[in-house]
Order: sequence, then C-alpha cells, then structure tokens
Amino acid sequence: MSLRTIAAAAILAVTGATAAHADLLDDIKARGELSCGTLNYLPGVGFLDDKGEWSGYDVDFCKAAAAAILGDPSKLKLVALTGPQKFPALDSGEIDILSRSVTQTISRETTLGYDFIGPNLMTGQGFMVRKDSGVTSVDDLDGATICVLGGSAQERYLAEYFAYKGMTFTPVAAEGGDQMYPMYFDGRCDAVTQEPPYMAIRRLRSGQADEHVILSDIISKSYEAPVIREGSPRLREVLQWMHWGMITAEEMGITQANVEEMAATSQDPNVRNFLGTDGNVGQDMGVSNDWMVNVIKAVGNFGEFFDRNLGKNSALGVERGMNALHRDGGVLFAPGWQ
Amino acid sequence: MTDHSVTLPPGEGRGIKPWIRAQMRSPLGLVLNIAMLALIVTALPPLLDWAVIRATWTGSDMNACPPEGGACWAFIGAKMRLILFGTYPYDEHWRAVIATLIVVALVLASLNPLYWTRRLAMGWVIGLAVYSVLMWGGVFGLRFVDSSAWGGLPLTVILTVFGVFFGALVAVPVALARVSRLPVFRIAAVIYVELIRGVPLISILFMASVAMPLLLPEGFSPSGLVRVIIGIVIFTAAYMAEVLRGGLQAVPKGQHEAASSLGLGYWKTQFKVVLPQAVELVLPAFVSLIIITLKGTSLVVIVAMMDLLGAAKASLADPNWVGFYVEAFAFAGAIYVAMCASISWYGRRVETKLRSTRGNG
Repeated sequence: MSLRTIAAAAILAVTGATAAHADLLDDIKARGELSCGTLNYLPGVGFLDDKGEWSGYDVDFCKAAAAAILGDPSKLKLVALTGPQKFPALDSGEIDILSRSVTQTISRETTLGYDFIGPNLMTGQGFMVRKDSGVTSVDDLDGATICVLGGSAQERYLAEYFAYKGMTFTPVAAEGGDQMYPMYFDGRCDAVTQEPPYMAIRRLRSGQADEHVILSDIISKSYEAPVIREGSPRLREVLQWMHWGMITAEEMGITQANVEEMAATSQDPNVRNFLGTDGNVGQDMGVSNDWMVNVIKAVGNFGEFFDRNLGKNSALGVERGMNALHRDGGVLFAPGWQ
Repeated sequence: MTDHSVTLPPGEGRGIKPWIRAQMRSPLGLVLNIAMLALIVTALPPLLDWAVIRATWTGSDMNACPPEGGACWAFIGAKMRLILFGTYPYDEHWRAVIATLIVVALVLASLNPLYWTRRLAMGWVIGLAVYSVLMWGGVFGLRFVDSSAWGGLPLTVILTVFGVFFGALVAVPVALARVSRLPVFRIAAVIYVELIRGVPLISILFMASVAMPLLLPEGFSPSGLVRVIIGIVIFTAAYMAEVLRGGLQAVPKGQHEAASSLGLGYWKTQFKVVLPQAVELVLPAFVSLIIITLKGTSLVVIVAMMDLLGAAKASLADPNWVGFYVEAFAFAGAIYVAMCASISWYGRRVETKLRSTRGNG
C-alpha cells in the first residue's frame, strides 16, 4: 500500500465518520440522557449539598437543558471536571454540554471550534484591601503584594493590568480559596483578588469583617457561557433560545410557581405562543411544544435561577447588576418569540 | 516462638518505676524525653481548647460557628455523609456500605496465603457479583447508579482493592519475565517497570483520564472509573513486580532443583513451589505497597473524582458553610490514619500467624 492510498483511506474514514455524525440533539434524544460537564468546588456555581446532590448556577443550566430536550431535569448525568480536563472531555464526546464557569472569549470561539450559549453570567475581577491601608482604587496598589489563585485567568489579567498601567506588584499564588484567604487575613498580602461575591463571603467569615473593604473597581470582563462543540446547529438553537426563554419568562412574569396555571389559563397570545399552548415553536426546533414549561418548572425564570443560586435567596447575596433585565438596568435581553 | 520467658538484666522489671528509671539511664535519653514531654505539654492544651472546649457540636449552618470560636464539628455533622459517600444517592448509601464491607472481608482473607484455596476464588467471584449488583443496581428493583456517581470511602476502597488485586495479577507475569532466562521477556519487563517507575502516579492518572478518551474512537472510551483503575493498576503492578522479583530471587536455588527432580514443569514449579514462598517473603513490603496505593488513590482528585479526600474538598464548596477546611481535612485524615493503621496491624498479625504455622520462626 502506497502512502497515498493510506492517506486517501484515512481521509475517507474521517469524512465518512463526520457525514454519519448527526446533530447532537438527535443523539441526546436517542440516548435519553444528557451528559453535562460541571464543577464541584465553587460555592453557588457548582457544588454538592449535604445529601450529595448537585447544586448551583452552572448545574441548574444543565438541569434546564435536560428539561428542555428530554422533558425531565433528572435525565441528566453530571460529570465533575477540573480545569485542564474540561475541553478534552468536550472534544472527546464524553460530555454534550460544558457548563463550568467558562469565560467566553473570541479565541476560544474562533480557533478552538466551540459554540457558546448566552453568555449567562456577567462578572469580573475585583480587589479587597485593609481599610486602614488608605487604598481606594486599584491604581493605589502600585508595589503591593497581592494574593491570587495560581493558574487562574485572574492571575493573568492581574499581571496584564499592572503591566499596562506601568505598576509593579508581588504576586502570592494560592492553590485555592481556603489557602488564599487565610494568607490575606494573616497579613501576608496587601490585597486579594477574585470575583467580589466570594471576597464578601470570606470577609464575613474572617472575624474581622469591619477592617476590610472591597474596592468598586473591576479590572476584567468575565462573561461566562455554557459551551458545546461546533457542528450541532440545532442543539445550539435549542440552548440559546432556552437561555432567551428564561429571560422572556421573567419579562412576562412567569415563575416556577405559576407556569402551569399560565399555560392552561392565560389568554395573552404571546404567553400562549411562548409556553406552547398555541403554535408549533417547540416541534419546529426538535423538542416538545411545552419545552419552556418544563424548563421553568425545573429551574424557574432567569431571575429565580439567579437569585436562588447566587443572588438574594442564597448565602452569597450577589446583586443582579449587569445580570438584570434590560428594563431593570441590566444587560439581559431576549429577541421576540414570534 | 513459643517460649516467651526472657531473662531481664539485673535491676529491671515490669512496672512503671523501672520503666521511668530505664528512660533516664543515659543523659541524651533524659534530655530527649524531657524535650518531648515539654512539646506535648505545650501543644496539647491549645489543641484541646480548639478541638473540645471551644468547639461547636451542633448547628444547621455556618452562623452556628462564630469565626473566633473553636472547631466547628457541626460542619462535619452536616457533611459527614457527603464526605463518606460523595455523590452516591443519599437513600442508597446502605448499598455502598454492604458492598464495601464484602470487598474488605475478601481482601482480609486474601492477604493470608493460608486461605488461598478454591473456596476463596469462589468467594471472590460471588463477592464481586454481589458487589456489582449492589453498587450499580438496575436489577432486583434496585435503582441504577452510574459509576460516575460513586464517591467517598467506597470509591477509595474500591480503587485501592482493584488497584492492588489487578496490580498483583499483572505483577506476577511481569516478575517472572523479569527473572526469566529469555532476553525478550526480561528486556520487555525491565522497560515496562523502569518506564512506569520513572513517571509520577499523578501524570499516569492524568494520561488515563484526559488523553485516553481522545485517543480512542468516540463512544469506545471506558467510563472515568475504569480509566482511573487502569491507570492505578499499571502503576501499582510495576512496583509489585519489583517487590515480587526480590522474593523470587530470595527463594533458594535448591527449591527449583528439587522441583525439577520431581519432574515438575516450569508453571507447576513457579505456582506450586516458588511463588508461594516468594509471596510469604515479601508480605511486609506488600503491605506497605497496599498502604501506599491507598494513599495514592487520593490523587484522583486531580481528575475530579470524589474519593474520600475529594469529597472532603467538595464539602467545602457549600455557600452555607464557608471556610471549615481544617475540620474537613482533620476528619478525612483521621479516617486515613485508622485505615492505614488497621492494614499494617492486620499485616503483622498475618506474618506472625504464618511464622507460627511454618513452625521455624
């Protein structure tokens, strides 16, 4: 066999395999189970409760997706992934959706071959300092020692920001929050950097809450989004419209508690169309017509979804901020449902 | 080893006073003893103060434990079952308990070469069948539990047991190849052993967990649990093969010659004559390998599996309980100490028993 025939056979095998590969949406429905990669160590985002049940913002996205596609949020297999594992697990087909605090960036979307949904969580990197240090903005931190999570995107953004501003700093890298915050509260660093809600809860638990202040400056954009592999346009449509659907439900005042009643009794043609009482929106995209009813029953509208996991109904108490509806001063919007 | 009477040097006897006198005989001993005593006296009160006196024993969330207080055992109370069982479904924990006890009993029996009979082999077949039914379920009305949901202590135990068991199965042919007179086998065994011993377990686990699914065709990759077990087996087998080689070389040549003169072939000589003696010789080293494997399984945290230590780490991520890592790690550490201590105690007992059975000390 010449080299050329081997190459031809290889190309044929590869293209044959691709041609045989249908949209992932059909695979998930045939399998009857959605496989979702997430994380098990971030409070409010992905963690296990006292009974070992999965909980959190990124986990709830997976539950919503299972409800949308399969009609049942429990038809879901959750896989905990570490940072280095997450993209190989997605590439190899071990998981269908990666919902694990992945920051959406242009390079990931265009060069790695992924489709991002949303983004569904807008956050950024802030700083906490001692009150008596007199620091009031990040630009006062020239020459400071700063505690940061080693190997994180925050470590990189921190270095980039200080270099751009022409300031110097000494990083103290920690393996995790449980190592980083004791170092900061023991005075090993002048400042600590992470997303503000995590700093707030650690400050609360430090026993010296009054002595620390979280600066209002945010130095980087971290817009997080669930990810799928490119090449399944119908799955991407279902998930993207599910995200918009949760926002639409909040706009329409449809909640976990009243969704079934609304679907049965509402006379508003927009609501009836949205919840699948009338029309064929769901079936046209390959899911059941009442798919949004299933999603809202499983996790609620966007406001409920946010407040239960990260917001005012959780121990973290994060403000909606950018993650509020456009009409409430946030950036969330949804296209029309006609 | 039946005669226990010992002649004591003059001036010594049993009891507390002679013991104290013996401790103070040399000046160096005296200084070291006083130093140790001082260390204990300074370390103990703060530890007791933290762990017992100022500790909080009950509570439903972190507000029960003030930041300036002592140990928050209420946290362990709330998270105990999460740490012990990980994501295994809460109502099915009893299944994991029974299944794990069965496997532990089988391992304890198998550690003693005197029990190596056909009955034990049957016991393993039946035990593993019962284990699979209990852990996976899906039959007899038991709910199906995917292996990705296994966690906590049962996962630590099964990774150790399978790692050691299949590791030993792989190690026997490798060790025999290592001492073989045929160069192909010998070189292959040397390459395998040196290659694996030259790589840390953490990178083997990483390769098994991350690279294996990328190399295999889509859909053909084994589950995460199986991938990790394969990694641990490959690693453990290399060390066991080397330990076993030591044992094989220590068996006197006369044994081989005696077996040959009886007309036994290669396999019969190895399995009936040489290997049983070799295993007995390396039992202490084997027990430490089991302990090393047990502790090595905690590295599966880096591939996000929730073994005992992984589940303890996962318990720290609840927004209702922030920052109780000392309690979580102390609890997990105590369990590891208890397990390792029991293994080495049992190992010593088996050795003594074997020695007294052989009757020649």
